[in-house]
Amino acid sequence: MLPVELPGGSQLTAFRTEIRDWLALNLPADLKVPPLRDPTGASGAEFTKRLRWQSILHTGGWAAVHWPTEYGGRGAGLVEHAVFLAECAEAHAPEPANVIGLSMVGPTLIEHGTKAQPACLPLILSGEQMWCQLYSEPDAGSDLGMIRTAATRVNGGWSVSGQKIWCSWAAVADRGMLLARSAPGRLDGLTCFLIDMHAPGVDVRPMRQISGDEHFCEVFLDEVYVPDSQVVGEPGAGWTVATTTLTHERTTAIFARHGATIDAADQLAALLERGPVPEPLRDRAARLWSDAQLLRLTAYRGLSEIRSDNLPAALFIQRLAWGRTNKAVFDLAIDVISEPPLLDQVSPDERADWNKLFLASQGWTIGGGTSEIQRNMLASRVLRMARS
Amino acid sequence: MTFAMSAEQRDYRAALRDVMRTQGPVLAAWTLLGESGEYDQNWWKRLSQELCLTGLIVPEGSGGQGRPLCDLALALEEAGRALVGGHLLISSGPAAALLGAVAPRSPLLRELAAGRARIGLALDKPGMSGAELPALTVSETASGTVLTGHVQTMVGALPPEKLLIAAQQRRGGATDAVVGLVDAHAAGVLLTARPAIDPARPTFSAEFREAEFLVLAQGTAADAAAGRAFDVGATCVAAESAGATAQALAELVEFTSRRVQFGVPIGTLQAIRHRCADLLVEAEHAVTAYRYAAWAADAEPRLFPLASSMAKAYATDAFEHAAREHLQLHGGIGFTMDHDSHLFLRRAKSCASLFGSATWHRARMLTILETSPSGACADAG
Repeated sequence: MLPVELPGGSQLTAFRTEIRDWLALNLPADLKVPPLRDPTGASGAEFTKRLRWQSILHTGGWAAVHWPTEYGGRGAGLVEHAVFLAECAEAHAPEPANVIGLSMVGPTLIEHGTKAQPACLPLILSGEQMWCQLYSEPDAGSDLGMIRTAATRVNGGWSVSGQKIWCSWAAVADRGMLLARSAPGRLDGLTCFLIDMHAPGVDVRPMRQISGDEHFCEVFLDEVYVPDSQVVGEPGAGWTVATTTLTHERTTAIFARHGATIDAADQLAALLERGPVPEPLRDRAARLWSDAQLLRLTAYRGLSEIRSDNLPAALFIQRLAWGRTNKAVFDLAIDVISEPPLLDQVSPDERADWNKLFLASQGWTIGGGTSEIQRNMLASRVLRMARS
Repeated sequence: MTFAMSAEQRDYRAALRDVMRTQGPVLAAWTLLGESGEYDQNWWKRLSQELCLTGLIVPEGSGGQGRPLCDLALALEEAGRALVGGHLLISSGPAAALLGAVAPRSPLLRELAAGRARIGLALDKPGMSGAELPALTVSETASGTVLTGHVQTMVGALPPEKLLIAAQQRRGGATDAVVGLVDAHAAGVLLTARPAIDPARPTFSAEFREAEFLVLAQGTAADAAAGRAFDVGATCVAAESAGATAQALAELVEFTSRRVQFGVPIGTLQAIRHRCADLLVEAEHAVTAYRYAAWAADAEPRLFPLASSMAKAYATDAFEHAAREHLQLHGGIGFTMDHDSHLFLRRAKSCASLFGSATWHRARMLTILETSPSGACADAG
């Protein structure tokens, strides 16, 4: 990684040193994710490793650095959280298993939960209780105002019916944070619920992605009973509740991704040394190598430009730029390993890895807001262009 | 700090932005240059003497400010926003770096720092073999050391008074690097200007026939100084390009918000918005790229060649893209001489070729990575 000096003086640098020292002692070699492997594996041995890593983080008090100390976090701000995620990724740590619980559910319950709701936080930290998110629907992808899953009043609570989709890791989740329609309208008629994924009427079906992974699930809800105690915030305030952590999450989550993209670009550059590759491909590889580096460096520059209530453009552009660069690295890799001089220089296993990652990378310009939606957001919120 | 700006730097930048804008939102390159090809003298005095730009990276002992390259790069980003032309970039950046390295005591360096030197610089050749220096013959005659040969591309003040030459010299059977000075008016010197895509930053070729040559450095010292000055030049062009990219985008956003067709500002249409958003990504990366290179120049010198190549390639590509979009999205008016749009395009093309093309720099990046991946990537934390 290209060296970067951090903003904010010695305190942040000391924090980074503390993380590095702790990782050096506590991240076991067998948990490290080798380059070109998915750090977010949803099943089997990979998932078990992510569970083990979460438990190690928890023991060390690092599972949720951005949570307040009274809930088991370290009270870290956005900048420290970003630096923590970057250091973990650059040390090749896997993503902790309960990432949705840690990044979304916990902070949301701390902010909007009832007195009783935070009782589950210790279980989120330890990884004993896995969480998923149930927001998107077949007809409500980029436009969550179209959510139709219905929550109707019943005695003591709500009955929820409908279909959710793109629910990451729902197949291993114990509980889910759900957005459902409790009143007509668009974003204003939504309510946020906490549901038991093992409750009667909840049917989870993993979806096979083009890479062969089964990370996403469809979730069918058929008259699922949700007691009033499991409503987060006021009925009808679901959109506000659900987007509480959005800015923080959008900003920090990308710091967990740069490392793998840079590793992949390094691997791509290394492929060029295995045999003569035409100049245009070499040029594209150099371009992507610097795109990957600049992405991370720009994010660090963004950290030095954060002012209260103002997310710098350098951070706002990350999601769009990262999706595109990440996809382009694997796209070019397929071209490079298909060049005749490299056909026998790349082992079948390596080739299978590149193939899989190329297919998997197609999702990165779709999930978490498509690139088109990202461009609209940049135009409106950063460039302040008028909306139609 | 790699990216954080000090309060002092922020104030300095604000002052610069002010001065750069004194002659309009875009300091149109050729309104700056009078009919004689000179800067407006009052304005140049403000740049060179009040803001001390030409002496910014010149050591204090040589009459300069002794500031790091980061400070100059910030200034050139602002100059880029205003499309400032002329020899400011060459004088304050690569010429100051080269002369400062090989002749820190020379009176010419003091003149340069004071904004009074008119230097033509030979550091690269088009084509682009980049850091490969032009090969010239240096020989001893009864009247002294003389220079013979052809330099394809010289940049800087036009017409120049002094020619600062970094070249490979042929001596006997071998070649090695040499840096030296030639008086532009000396016998045996023929300078020829080329039709320039960017008249505000012309280039010229030089023919030397036994021209009197003052050698300032030879061998490894000359090589190291010329290599670093080349990287300083590339970083300066990257900084200028980043500023111009941001300015082009700002003007596009402003124009498309105002321009109404089919009853709506065209900036409300996704076809326009998405293109502006893509430019924003490039504009942001371009700033990062030049600032990282400028930081590396002083803080991580071993990374400077890699970082300056990354910056030069990225920022000038971004600038070219922004300049093309600037013209296209302005529609017919952007195609007229009354509009500033062509100035962006002209400057973008001259930035693209100055100190090595993007393609050349990317090839150099791969060479650096292949020869010393650990040296380039080891994290010094």
